Amino acid sequence: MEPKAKFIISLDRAYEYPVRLIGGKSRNASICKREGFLVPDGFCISTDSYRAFVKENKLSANINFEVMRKPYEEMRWEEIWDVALRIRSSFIKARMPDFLERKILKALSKWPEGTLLAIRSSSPDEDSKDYSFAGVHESFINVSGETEVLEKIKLVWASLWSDRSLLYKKEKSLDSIKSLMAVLVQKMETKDVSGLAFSADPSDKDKNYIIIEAIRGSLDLLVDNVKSPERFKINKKTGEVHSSKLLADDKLLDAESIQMLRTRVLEIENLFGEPVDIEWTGLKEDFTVLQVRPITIFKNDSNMERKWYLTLTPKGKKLINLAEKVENVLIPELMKTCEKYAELLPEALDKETFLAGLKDRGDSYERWTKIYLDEFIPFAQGIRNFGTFYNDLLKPQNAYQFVELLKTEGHIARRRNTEMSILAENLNQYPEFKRELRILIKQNIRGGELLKALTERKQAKGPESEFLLRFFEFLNKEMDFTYENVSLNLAPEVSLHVILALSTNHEESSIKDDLNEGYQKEYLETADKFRKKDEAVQWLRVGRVSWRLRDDDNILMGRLENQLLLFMREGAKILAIGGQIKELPELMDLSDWRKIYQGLTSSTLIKVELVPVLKGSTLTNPSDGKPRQLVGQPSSPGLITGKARVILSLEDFKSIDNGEILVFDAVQPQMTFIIPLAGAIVERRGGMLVHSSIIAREMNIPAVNGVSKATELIHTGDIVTVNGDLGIVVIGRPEFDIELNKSAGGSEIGIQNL
Amino acid sequence: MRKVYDEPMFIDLKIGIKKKEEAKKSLAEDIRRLCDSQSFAVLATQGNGQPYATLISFAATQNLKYIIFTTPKATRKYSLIEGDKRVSLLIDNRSNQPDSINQISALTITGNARILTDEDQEHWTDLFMEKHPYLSNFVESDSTAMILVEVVRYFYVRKFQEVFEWSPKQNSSSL
Repeated sequence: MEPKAKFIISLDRAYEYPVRLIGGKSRNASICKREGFLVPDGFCISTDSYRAFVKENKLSANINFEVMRKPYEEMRWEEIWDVALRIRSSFIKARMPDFLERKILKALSKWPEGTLLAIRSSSPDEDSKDYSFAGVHESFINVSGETEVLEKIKLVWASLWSDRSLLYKKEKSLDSIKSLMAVLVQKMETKDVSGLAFSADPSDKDKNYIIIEAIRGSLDLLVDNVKSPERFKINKKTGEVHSSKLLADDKLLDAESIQMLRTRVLEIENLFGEPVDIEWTGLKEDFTVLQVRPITIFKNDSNMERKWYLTLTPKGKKLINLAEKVENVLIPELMKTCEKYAELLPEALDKETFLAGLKDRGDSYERWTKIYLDEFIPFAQGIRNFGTFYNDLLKPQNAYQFVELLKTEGHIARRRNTEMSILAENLNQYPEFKRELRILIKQNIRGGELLKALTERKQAKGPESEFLLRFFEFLNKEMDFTYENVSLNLAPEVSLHVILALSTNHEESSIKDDLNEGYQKEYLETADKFRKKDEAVQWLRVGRVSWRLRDDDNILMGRLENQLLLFMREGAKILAIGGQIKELPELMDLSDWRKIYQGLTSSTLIKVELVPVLKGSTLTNPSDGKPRQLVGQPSSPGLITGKARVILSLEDFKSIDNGEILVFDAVQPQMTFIIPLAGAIVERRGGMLVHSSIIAREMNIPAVNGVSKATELIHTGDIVTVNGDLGIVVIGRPEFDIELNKSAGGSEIGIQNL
Repeated sequence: MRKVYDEPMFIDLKIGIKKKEEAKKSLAEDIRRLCDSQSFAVLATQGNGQPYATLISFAATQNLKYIIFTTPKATRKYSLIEGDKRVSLLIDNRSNQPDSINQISALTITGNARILTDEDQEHWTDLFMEKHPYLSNFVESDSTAMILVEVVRYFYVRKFQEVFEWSPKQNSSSL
């Protein structure tokens, strides 16, 4: 800490201090104040305060530990979110230093009790010329009461380590470890009319125009997209109104107000020497500056990636609307589409119907892929949102306790696995038939041949036909999807192997039935105490829908793919007969459906070249050392030792023995039907919200994920201990026999090699 | 094959920003780098079931087959090695900053120690003196012994809990 630490600084004088101490937002507001603009009264909690808080609670060790755990390049967004969640959790639990609390409370005491305040992030990197962290760090409005204010200050500090902030820093190569955060506390001011103003048009980089947006009442209604504004585009020099859009219910700005706003905006732009984005409230002599920042959007912000991850975090009403849409419109529609497609087999169709079917499936696949990216993935925020709400409310020791409340019974994967378990039990009633099945599988009878044999058997109406009836229903209903380009409903040997393995060592279904009513009760009671019960019920509901869909959407997408693939295969067959493609590819890239379609509809028999798809991957051990202990993150608790089975391709599914430790690169939701056989799961891809975590927790199977190079460092047959509580995987047994043998070998050590 | 719905990591989508993966370092190089960067090691010896740890100055051969250190003959560690040649060493780069726990690397080494005769010692003195020139008086003293440890295994620990094992190849040259 600097020799003369300065913890609280009045907004009246903040401009006298370096931006590193007060942050961009405080600085800009303070400069406006100095120049005579109305700015809500307030004070800045400096970065020295942040440092004191972090130091007192020894948080930097924790931050470093989390942030340096793993190179960002090896992390997916789920893992980055986990990092952010754990850091945030440690901030919530940390204590405000006594001296600092006294100083903050003293600063607050200038306002009467119950005054509504805005608690805003003011990062030294934020709102500067080079970086715009707009929306990356957290700010809170309408906060009142000492406890609430102190809590929110901690949350603003913690947002320095939010996932968005971490990703943004990464993108801009900012040193995350050295980051600091100041907080601006201001009195809330809301006049009749509020709005945003841009001294240059951010949408088309046009610096000749000013954009002004206005709404009646509080600005947050505009910022959160709850209300639509009245919008004006004004010529900067002449003041002429270029265009205006009345999206609001009533007209708010008259000609005089518009010119007044233009003048103020230009004055402020002039003050900062660059285009600015202003949040304001009040007209004429009431005009008050709430916030000023430079517009950086048109400074090389071409990163689609950044925009995309910002869409990953819909909030509030938007999230509720998304939940409604996903649950009640999109998923039912996708299900219906899949069912409709499944009714039509490509082989039996005339050319015209077939082509129409292929195009329909192809278009549909592309449409749903887009919906998947735009709506389903952002909806994962429902889980995160609930997690954050839960942690803020209950401050649990375990930052993932909230997951317990999310488990519901509706998962497609869970239903599928329960059905497999029932089939396994059922099969045990026919030991003779079970033996026959085993032999069939051993002889490598598979695909169509096996289907035919089973169908004949079913038609023979022996005692086992009851099992077969159920099995066929299962195949068509639950296994209608592709994995590695193989349609699993046409490869019955895969699911039969799993059912056979399950039946050998049949235990009662390990799925936990109690849905943790205890946690739920505590959650709702605590919420009630803080008068947040309605909110609590709402976010739990959205969280549960989100949790369920996180898996279901992928399974349904797999089903859609399967239906497209069936048509593509048929189409490719026709092309091969006509000599338009050289040979039938074993695996196909789904985006090639268009090429097949074009080949089939062209009059000139054009040649079609399909993208070759590589099957699985053969990995070699890149390291010359022998891994002994690998670190990932605990994704489902429990400790177990067993034999490892590395799953690289569908072929590996068929060799799994019940209870083996399954090692994956990335578990796709389509393949979770083999999870009931797993003694534990190890996965390279990480995160509490990845599919294997969800299913492992549902089934109480220990799991560690985020293990770099898991499938390369662990080999099938290795004895592996999975510690799902600490996120550690130990390979091999601790033996010291090599040392002992050497020692027994006497004095002959390497000197003779000299 | 990349699944469309296998959500990409942000970094993958980024255009031109992704850093080139650093040239792959082998575990042996990591171990060598750690040995070269450190001057001191903790030596564990034993006698009658009593473990005994001391701090020593060491040097390692390039092929990592041997670790060499010196000790006055009239010491407990010297007599313990005379009694049982099985030893263990700890080499690490810790800085006593809890913040840095993820940056610490450590090596636990198991091996067999041998007290070198004056003749043997000549081969090794240069290696040791190059790293610890300030110990020349100490090394040249008659009362000082040079100990050679033939390494059986390295246990390389990094990032708090990640552990790899490595053994020097028996057929490579001695230095």
